[in-house]
Amino acid sequence: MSKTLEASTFAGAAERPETAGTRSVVLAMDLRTNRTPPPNVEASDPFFLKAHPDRWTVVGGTVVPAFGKLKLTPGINGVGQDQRTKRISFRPAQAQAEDAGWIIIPWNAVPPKHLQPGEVPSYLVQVEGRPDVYLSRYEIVYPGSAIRGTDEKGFLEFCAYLEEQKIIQPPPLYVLETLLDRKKAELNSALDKAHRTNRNRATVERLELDVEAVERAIKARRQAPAAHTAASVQLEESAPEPAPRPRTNTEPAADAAQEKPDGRGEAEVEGGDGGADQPAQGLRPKQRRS
Amino acid sequence: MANEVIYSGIGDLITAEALSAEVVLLLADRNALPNHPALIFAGDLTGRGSLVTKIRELGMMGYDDVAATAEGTDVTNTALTDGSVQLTIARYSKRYERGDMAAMADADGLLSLAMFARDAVVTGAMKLTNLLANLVDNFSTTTGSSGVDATAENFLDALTLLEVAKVPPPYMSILHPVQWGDIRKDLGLSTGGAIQFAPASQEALMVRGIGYQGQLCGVDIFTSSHVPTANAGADRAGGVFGRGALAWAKARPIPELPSPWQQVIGDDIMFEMDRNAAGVLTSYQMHVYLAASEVLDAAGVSIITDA
Repeated sequence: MSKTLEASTFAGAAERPETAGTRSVVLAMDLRTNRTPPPNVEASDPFFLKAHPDRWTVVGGTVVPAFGKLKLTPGINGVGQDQRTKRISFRPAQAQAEDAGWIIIPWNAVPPKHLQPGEVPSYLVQVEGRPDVYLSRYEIVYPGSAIRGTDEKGFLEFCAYLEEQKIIQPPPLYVLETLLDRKKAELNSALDKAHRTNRNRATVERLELDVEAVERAIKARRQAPAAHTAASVQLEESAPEPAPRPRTNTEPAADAAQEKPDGRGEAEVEGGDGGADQPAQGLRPKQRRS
Repeated sequence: MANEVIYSGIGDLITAEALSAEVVLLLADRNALPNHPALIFAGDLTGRGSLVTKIRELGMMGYDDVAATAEGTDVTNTALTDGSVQLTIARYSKRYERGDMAAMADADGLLSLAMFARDAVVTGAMKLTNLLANLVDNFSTTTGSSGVDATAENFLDALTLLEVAKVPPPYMSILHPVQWGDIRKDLGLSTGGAIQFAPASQEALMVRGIGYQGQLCGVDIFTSSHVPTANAGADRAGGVFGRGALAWAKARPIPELPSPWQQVIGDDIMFEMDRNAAGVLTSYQMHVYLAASEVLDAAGVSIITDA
């Protein structure tokens, strides 16, 4: 006779779960899956930007200073470091640069609109995660990458701000003309190559824009020529008289003074042995006969 | 202290099965500059009473022209042009700390005393490269255009500017690898071999270091990734220069005690070892004392081109 097993024979059988119980735990482990990797660029020391009156370039269609960097690296250009306080002494480097004509740009020369509220005004920035990397705030680096980018708009505003604040002067006309000659020569060379290879066509386009930018800058600049005075030269003998011009029916007498458009008369060199008694006349305008 | 080289931390360097004899080193700029004639060596400042030295600049040897002077007239004085540049020695150091267990697992000598010593020599030479590469972007005369790749023409323009400035050869050039790559490409694609380029032979590399690329128009070309950026990172600023543009100095370290634990290697580098018996750690430290400076601005030309 089979015995019917009743459910009550298996005490707790109805409540026994099919799967084992679990509870959630958190271990003290950092998976590092959500950390932003630092940029993979080479280390660089802090620096001051410096501008030179002869160094200009074209960026984004605008003539801007081709800045150099006064690097605050101990051992370079007389920069030192106090071993106890770790403070960097850079006055010899600054003096050397200024003697060579450079203008040191202070760190706080940043357009106010480029700053976040409460941010320390400085164009020198330090990359998060890379305390050994110092950049200008217009230089862009990317997490985990060695690629660098440029905030061109911000950089151009920075350059304009420096001119506006008179920290730097606009480029001299002779520098612009030299730059224009150089750009035109590069453009012509690129045009020669572009006829043979396609890869130079982008260069041609870029240089054409650069030439236009420099020409615009030249037109915008007005510079008075350097002041000059008549040269004084003492000769032992009188200079030979110029040969008389043949008369025509419409021209006045050939020995009458011909007035130059700028108001200067013909120059006549004075000489002779009366130099000791007379002041050096040098070249003086010929008197027009009345 | 952090960053000790201990057994559990060198998993990249050992494998569970057969070990390869090849060494895979992290990519680093191992270029090294020699005592090139285009560089002024201001000397070893050890024992001179100061770690600051001056290079004097004097306008002699025909710098000032004579003036026609009549008989019986006193000649007037010509102002002597002079100046000076200061070099200040700075200390550069590095330290590795290796655990005994890491040494036990190292079958190829990657973490041996010899390897650390070799690293010290290369690193010391690299530091000079780094210092000089940081100076070539500051010449007031420039060639090249922002955002435009470097070309052979930029290079030749730089040589012309040096000749116009009466800078005597031999010249040296330090460029960023991107700049050099652009020039080399332009040489190959545009000049059709009209400009002579002599690539570095193996012997030249042994003498002048891995960064030596060869000679272009008689100019020794070196590349360094420490050539600075310019124009907010848009460009790189290398340079070409002759003798008088850059100067460097060193201070030879003096070992305190004659000991295998402290030695001067490569004539310039102090290499020391230190033992932490309780932590079974051995530290290897190197110290080098260098200075570099610009001297004559007119003796160099910066080449600023696309990065």
